[in-house]
Amino acid sequence: MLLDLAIKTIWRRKLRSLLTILGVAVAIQLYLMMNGIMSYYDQDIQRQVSAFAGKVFIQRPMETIDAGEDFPSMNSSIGMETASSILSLDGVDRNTSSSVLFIALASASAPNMPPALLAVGIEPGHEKAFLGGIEIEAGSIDLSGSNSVILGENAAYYYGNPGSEEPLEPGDSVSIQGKDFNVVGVLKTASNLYSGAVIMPLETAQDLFDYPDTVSAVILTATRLEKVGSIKVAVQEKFPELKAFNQGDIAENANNIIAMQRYFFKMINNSVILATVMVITIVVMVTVMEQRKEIGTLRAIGAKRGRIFSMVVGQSVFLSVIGGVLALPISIVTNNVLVKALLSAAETLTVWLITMGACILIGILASLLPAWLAIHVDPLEALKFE
Amino acid sequence: MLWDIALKNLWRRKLRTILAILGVATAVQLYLMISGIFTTYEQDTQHQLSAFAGKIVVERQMEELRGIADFTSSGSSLKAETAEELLALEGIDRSSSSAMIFIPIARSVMPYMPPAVVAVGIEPGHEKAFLGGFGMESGSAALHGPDDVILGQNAAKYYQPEGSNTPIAQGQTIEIQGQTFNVVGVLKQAPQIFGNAVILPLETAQKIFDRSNIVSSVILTAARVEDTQALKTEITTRFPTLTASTQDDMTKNANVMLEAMTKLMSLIKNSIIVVAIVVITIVVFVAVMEQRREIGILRAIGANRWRIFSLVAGESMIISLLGATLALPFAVFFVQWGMRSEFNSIPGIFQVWWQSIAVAAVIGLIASLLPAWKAVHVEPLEAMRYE
Repeated sequence: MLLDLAIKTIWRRKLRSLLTILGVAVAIQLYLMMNGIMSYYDQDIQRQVSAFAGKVFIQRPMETIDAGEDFPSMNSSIGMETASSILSLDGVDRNTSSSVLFIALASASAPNMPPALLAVGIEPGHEKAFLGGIEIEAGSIDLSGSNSVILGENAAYYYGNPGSEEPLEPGDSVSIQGKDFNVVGVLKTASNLYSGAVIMPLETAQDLFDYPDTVSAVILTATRLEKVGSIKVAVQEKFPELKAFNQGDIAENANNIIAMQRYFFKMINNSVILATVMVITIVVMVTVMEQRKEIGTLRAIGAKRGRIFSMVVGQSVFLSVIGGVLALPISIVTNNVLVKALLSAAETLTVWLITMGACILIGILASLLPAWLAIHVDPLEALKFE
Repeated sequence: MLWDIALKNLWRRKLRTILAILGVATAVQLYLMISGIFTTYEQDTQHQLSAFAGKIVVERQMEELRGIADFTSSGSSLKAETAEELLALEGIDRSSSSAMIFIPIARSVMPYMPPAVVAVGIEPGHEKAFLGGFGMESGSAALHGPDDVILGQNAAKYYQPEGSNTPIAQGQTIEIQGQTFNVVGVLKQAPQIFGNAVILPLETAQKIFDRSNIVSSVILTAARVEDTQALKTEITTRFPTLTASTQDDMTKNANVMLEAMTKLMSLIKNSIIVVAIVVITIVVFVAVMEQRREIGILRAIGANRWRIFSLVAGESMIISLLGATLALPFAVFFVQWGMRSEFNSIPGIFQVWWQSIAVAAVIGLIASLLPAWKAVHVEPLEAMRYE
């Protein structure tokens, strides 16, 4: 493979190689960061979608122009009468279905995310309509007391005693919008929608937020899974002014919402890859031109074109991979400044592995032009001049 | 200045120079695109804020948490009675104050931007509360009948019939939530929040969006501008669950939004600049090493160090400036092709173009430092020793 030769060549020109690796590291760091943020969004969508398995979510639709709809919408309103006729549709498991009121308590902390704190009013006894797919960290999901509240993970931290880093626990009391509540349960880590949730009885929420006689949405669970489709159709037919989402629709909508962001991030990543390819191409090409004589000699003593080719590719991949490795610690620092370690260790590893794959690809792409030049070195001509 | 030599040197190594210029162009293109978007945000926000001079927006209080409140999509709600109490306060210019309802009709694809289309319910006769100083492109700014609407320019474009290229004009009709409305006026070019608005009578909005007796917020105008602050204080003491935002408060809020964006954007921009510097440094550095002999001769025949420096810096600048020039069409292309028309950042790109040229010059200069240092330290004797 002549890899040793490749490494020696890189070592011989320390300053140049160092600069190249630095450039690659800065570029790849950006790539890592962008991928990290994007996979955070993807993961959140996945979690959110999985919580709505087997459910039908009904809200007032927005007009769609590829940008998706707010989900859940803070501005959707459905009259209580309409809501109860939806809830009495055939095939609906009333126990795990409920009218729901969503009120933003704090705006989103990042673009295209649900509100950072979200009050959720739900009918007592039907908590599973919203919490069916979610695990409980502590306490219960029983909202029978008019001032009971279930908190998502982030909400529990937010309302925790100021100064202490401790979250609220079941049994604690908390004041929300001037009203005192008892915490009855705290949710496990879940998607952002649930993490910021402050779940209270529907009537209490309607009272507290001045929403008499209206709700934001209705969440239905089918008695049998295969009935989800027919319930969705029934809702759509009977209430044409409303829109019913099943799990698939929720996933599609979530992807529409972040489509623009995806394009923007991809655009940055592609530019980063392109610029990195250019850097390495230039460096390796210069090296090849400087080594015409050596390459000519190697060819003259019988080295095949394949070997020369792999020597150049090796050099190029080496530069990009080392740059990529160096990018990881840099990106950990920049990520902490910016987004406060959004991803878990396993996800970081995945992102990093993808990035290393990209680095190898960059190395190979960058080596094509120089390698082509190298294998076309004519031994006779290269050795002609002293 | 030896510019001609610098140019000749670059010309001699065409392939390498072209690659370097392309590399810089890729980097600067990204810089331009990002700066262009950011400038567009800043300007839109500025315009929007200036429209709220002397006004107070009263909404339901939100928890104080890092986040960006946008009064069109926050889902604030007040009882109609509360709104009436607010509007009956003393020192208010009632004719330019109104209870409002904001319902996003279509999401914006851009973060931190008002909805792409937003229904704005306002009390007829009090349109000034929201429309203040905005001029009309056509028609009037007065809602008479329950089915009258005033459209912002983007909204007029949004409702244009499929296949047509002409926005909805005064006198035409549009359909919202299954109900037909008469367009009585179209606004002049305005910031997003007004440009995207479909303004209709408050009662009609409450009816079609199922929100009887609820409003989103109240916009108040003080009878005398100097009373604005006092009015705000009175509201927050009398209605502790509400917040009252003056233009200053909104500016603060907007700055929080811009700050959050600046962080991400400047991280990207700085990384790009470093990459561009590295590309040029390497290319020029290699060129200097190859030209040790020439540089030695120049020095021997009396060129002073300053001239050698400018030779190297010249090469570096040419690469970076050509790269920056090439970046403009790239950036325009990607924005045109990928971003949606309702957020047009192309004028923004042209505005920041001169700025990116300046940045490119700085990049060129910094990139030339290391190679130039090497070049001015070439010892004439040693460089010419070997044949």
